[in-house]
Amino acid sequence: MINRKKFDFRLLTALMILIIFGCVAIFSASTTRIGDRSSTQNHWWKQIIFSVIALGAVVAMIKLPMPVFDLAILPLFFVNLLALILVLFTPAVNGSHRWFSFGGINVQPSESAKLLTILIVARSISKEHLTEMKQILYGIGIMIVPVALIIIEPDFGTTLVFWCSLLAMLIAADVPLFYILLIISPVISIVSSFYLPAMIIWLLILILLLIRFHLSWVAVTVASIINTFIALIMPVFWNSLKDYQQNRILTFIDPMRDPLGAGYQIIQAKIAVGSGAIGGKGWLAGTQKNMNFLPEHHTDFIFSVIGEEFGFVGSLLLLGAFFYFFWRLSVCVIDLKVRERRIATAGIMAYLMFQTFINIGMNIGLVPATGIPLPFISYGGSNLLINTVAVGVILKYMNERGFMK
Amino acid sequence: MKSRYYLLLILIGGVSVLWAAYLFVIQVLDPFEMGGYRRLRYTPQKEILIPKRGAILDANGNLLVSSISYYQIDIDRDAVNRWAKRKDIALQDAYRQIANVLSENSELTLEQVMGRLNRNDKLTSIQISNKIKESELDQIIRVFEEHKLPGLISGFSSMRRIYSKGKLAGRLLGAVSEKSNGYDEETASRSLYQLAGMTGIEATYNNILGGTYGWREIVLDANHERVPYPNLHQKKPANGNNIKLTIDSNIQEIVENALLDGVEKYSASNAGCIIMDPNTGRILAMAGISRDDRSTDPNVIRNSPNIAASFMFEPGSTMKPLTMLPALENRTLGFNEMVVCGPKRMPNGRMIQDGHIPAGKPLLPRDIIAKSSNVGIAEIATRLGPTKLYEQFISYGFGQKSGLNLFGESSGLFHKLENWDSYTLQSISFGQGMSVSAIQLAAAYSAVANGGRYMKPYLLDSILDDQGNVIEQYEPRALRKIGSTAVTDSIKSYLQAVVDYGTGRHIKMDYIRLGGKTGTAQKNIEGSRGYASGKYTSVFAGLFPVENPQMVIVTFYDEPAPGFHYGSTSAAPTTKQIIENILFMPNCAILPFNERLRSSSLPMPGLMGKHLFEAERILNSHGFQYRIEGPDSASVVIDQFPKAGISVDRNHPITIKIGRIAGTDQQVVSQGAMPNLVGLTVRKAMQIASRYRIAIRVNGTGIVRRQSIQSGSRLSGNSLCVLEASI
Repeated sequence: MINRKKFDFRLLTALMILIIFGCVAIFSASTTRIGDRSSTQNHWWKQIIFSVIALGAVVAMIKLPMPVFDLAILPLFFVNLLALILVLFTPAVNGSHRWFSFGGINVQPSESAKLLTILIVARSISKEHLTEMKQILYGIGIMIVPVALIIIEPDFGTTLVFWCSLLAMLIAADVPLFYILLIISPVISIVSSFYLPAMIIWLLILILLLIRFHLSWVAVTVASIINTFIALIMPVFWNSLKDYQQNRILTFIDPMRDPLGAGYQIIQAKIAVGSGAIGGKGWLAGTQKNMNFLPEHHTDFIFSVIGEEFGFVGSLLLLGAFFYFFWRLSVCVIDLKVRERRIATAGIMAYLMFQTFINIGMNIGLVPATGIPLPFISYGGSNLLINTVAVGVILKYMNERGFMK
Repeated sequence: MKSRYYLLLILIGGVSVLWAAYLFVIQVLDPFEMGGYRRLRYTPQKEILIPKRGAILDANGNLLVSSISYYQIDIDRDAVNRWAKRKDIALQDAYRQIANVLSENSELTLEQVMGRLNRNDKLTSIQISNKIKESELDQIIRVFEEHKLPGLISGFSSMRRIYSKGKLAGRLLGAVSEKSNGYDEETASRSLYQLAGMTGIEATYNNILGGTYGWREIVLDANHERVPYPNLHQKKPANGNNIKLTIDSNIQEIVENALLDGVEKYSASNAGCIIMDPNTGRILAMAGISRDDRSTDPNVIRNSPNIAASFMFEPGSTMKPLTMLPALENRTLGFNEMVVCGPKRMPNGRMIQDGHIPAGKPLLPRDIIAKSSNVGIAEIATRLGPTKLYEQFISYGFGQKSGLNLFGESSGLFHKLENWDSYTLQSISFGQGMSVSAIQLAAAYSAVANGGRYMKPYLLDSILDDQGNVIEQYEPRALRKIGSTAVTDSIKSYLQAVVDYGTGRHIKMDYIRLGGKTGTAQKNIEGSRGYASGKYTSVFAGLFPVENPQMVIVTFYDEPAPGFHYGSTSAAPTTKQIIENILFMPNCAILPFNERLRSSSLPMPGLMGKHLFEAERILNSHGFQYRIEGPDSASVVIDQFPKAGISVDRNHPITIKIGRIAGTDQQVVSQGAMPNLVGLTVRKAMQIASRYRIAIRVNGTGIVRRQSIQSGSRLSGNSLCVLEASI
């Protein structure tokens, strides 16, 4: 079934490299070695088992006839929505309802929701003869449902992934850039509102850009007024917040405000990466990890373990592998001519990229801690499965692509 | 539209390059100096190890004071939670496992531990107990390691002094207090925990008892748990040395009991007594009692002044033999020379009263002492002259500290010769115008008793290390000669005359030759030379047996009630009581002929801490009569009268007090045996059963006729005894 001319072997190779890298890192992360004593938890072989299952699923999916695949997406999406509702009634773990637990195996429906929502949104906005406005509204309209359910869980970090991939899909759907600008303008207005000169400069740039795109004066005026209003109301809103609420938001943005609480993880991760220096401390020898200073070191902070034990060289290798992987994905976006598939590929690529860069940024202390794992590297069965299957979808599209639209 | 994909590529590349650049900065350029953490995490810290404070033993090697260290145990609930998750068991089950281990190996109950573990607050680390003993802690750590249980955090908590003999010698031994201002030079650590001696022996020998701190290298992980890092060093703490006193706690107890009785009987405000071995200078007992001591908390007593060492009093007539000694020595007085006594105006114009002695009556030196003539001794002192008397009194040690280095010891008051006025010589001759401490008086009488050698009084027999090996042994030291044997023998015989027919004749004992001198002195008004009316100090200084003195005893009462204010009416009778009790101690070798006395009486067995059943068995086997006091539910002997080791007449009823001692009750019961309940009323049988913690069921009423468990058979913890009763 594999079409040797069309199948993207290089993307598969990049994927395999990342998965193997992940298994190696997880073996180290689940090992504690002090002096000549060491003990390893069984995360690493669980991850290997999941890798095999995930690759098996990719093969099965590639063999699946395309019409069946296309037909299955919508029912699966609704099943997934149902699962997102049901998961709210499970007992809370660490204060949120995210997991179904089947005899020791935890399933997180929001993981599969990422992939299925992207596929559904891609299908709906790729229909011919939709106006740009409708594309945007359809996209937001579909995406709001799973996002709302996930916010209730609550899981704020995951919802950011959704918005990011929606943006990418709209760009891929050839929605004019000023619409994108209009969509993200309120966010930039909120951010810039804390510094008056920045706010003024931003509003001027916004107006200039909108005029430059030959938008109607009415649209420019409405957009300017809304953005000005948001920018002006923000300080008022901010001041109306209670001290502890302000603190919570500020600590999210700048974890170092609370070095023993929210900032603790970030600081310890930064110490881990920084103390790795050029060559690292060596396989299994990370002190931050072995002495338990590095929290969650087999999941969210696995990059710190790599940075600590393999140093700058190892971090750069991993970063390079990711770069190669994403470069291959972007080539796929260009190569795929079917509108729906190209949009879906862009969405998948955006969601993997967002998670990757946010997670690494978090590990080196540049981004707030959001609980987003590193794709293919962090320990976690459902996460690995869905990420791999998502790449599998792209491999399937590539395998069965035509040269015409 | 291709431009969009270039935009995308720029985005991917841009972020990758940005992240890589930042990685380069923190990993290679290292501006935050994170590289320092490469070694830091494994760098051992020094944990201070607290030495155990040394014990204080009496002359027979019995413990008077010892130390016990307590450790604190905390449980890190976060760690337990993580562990439970990993093992996939419920948190409560994990808690229960931990609580089981803790309760099985300590005095805590399962419920207590579970209660602490489930305490509803935000602390992740919960203190379970800070009263865990060392052996318990070792066991707990071992079990935790064996079963790989999580969350145990332990550390030194505190040290307590254990007073094996309760209040006994409290003022002498003194008190300690917890401090954390210790300093260890080797580790340069401040704020180290220590028990510091505040008063008494504890303060005097603080450096010997204290020990030196040790340390141990530890490597802690982020959860503050010790990690098994190899090749860590440690230095063991040197526990404090033990000190062995010259005090004999049996004698000390006799003395304290006599003084407690005496203080009540004579309504004195304070009393004190020192017993010294005149041949060596060893202090065998040193007791000070204040009016309320019987009811005062032992800790308050230990913080109170050591009256026997600190109290200064006018020695009064007890000085007369000491004045006469140099006169006989210098032959300014003949052994058989008569001196005219009776009230008389001295050549310097001072009128001196002389008790009941008629004016102009001539007395022999022996009778001057026996009848305690002021005029006679003043006449003798006048003949001797001030210089000779001054020098002699200095060589007795008056006005100087004894060298015991005892906390709060007073040096007495003895004016320098150049400050003497015309009356001083006469006053001093009968013990006025100066004051002494009981130690000084005992030391001076000891010198008389042993034939003229002034022995340095001492309290410290030896210093032992914590294993009991002798490090330093203190020997008797004769400091100087204060007179010849011939003269001191005469003085001793005069002292015997006091008891034979003189002012102390009412305490004469027919089985031992006791020599001594009574003394009565008005108390000085503080800070002036005048005397307070109605306030007296009564003193008795004695030695026995006169032919070969083994002990010197000085007893005093401070402000006894009128009538008892003479040395002969309060201090002397108490001295007699003390001497009698000492002589009848089972191991006392002073009386060669008291075998006869001993056979009718038996040494009291030690019953303290024993289970009532055991105590009754011992008493019955010796045929003692006894009485039990205390609550019915109690079953442990907490006190006994008389104390262990004291000779008791078998027909004289003994009292044992029972009470509850936490923790020991349970243990003792399991070793107990079934008492005989047959023949008792049901009510009485139930009382006894509850005291022994035996589960019983009663069928019928009235008198118990039969019991289902034979008396004397061993009881297990949950045996049920069925009693058949009928009227």
